Amino acid sequence: MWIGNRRGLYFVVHGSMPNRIGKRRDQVVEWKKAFNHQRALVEPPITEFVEFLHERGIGQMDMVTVPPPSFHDYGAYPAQMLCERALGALGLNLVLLWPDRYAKSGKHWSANISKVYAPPALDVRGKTVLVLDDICTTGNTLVAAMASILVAGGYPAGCAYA
Amino acid sequence: MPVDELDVAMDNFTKDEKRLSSLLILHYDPRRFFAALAAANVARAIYRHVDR
Repeated sequence: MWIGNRRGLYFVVHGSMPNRIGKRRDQVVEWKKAFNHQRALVEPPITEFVEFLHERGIGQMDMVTVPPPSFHDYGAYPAQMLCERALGALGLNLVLLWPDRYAKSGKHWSANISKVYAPPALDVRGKTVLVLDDICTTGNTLVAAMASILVAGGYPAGCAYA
Repeated sequence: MPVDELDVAMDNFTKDEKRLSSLLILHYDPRRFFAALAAANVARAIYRHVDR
């Protein structure tokens, strides 16, 4: 387990240093590939993820959200499915702050990190928001989502599964 | 929260940021970890003069 990069603080539950290595991560990547090719595959186990979220106080956060998809649609979005399943086990709801798709590109990064994603659709001023994701490779998705919330006046934290 | 996790997290932080973030996270109840993480993110943004 480890947290953060130079642009913000987040936590990866099944992470390792260096990252991009790990059995659980491979499992999730395989599941996402199969999902994209519409092949059936068993979803990765999330018991430890749910326990982790509960122990570290997810219930005290005002909102829990996922970063916007870059090419999936809501409803068929692996990160959303995984996080909804984890939250369902805790009796919490997932709030979608970005209704549209947003692709990250070099153009966006060179401008301003807080403008990679649009401002959140809901009012997050003064609220603690947890951004959940399934996979964390470089942390850019989580950091961009957190920056968007930060600029809108919220208190963001990030957490990824693997 | 284990100290080695914190060390990894704050590898790229300046001395002041490390001190402030460590304080924020360590002095919180572990059961309020995510809230502490959020507070540390905001503290960091203030240090780096991110316009909120």
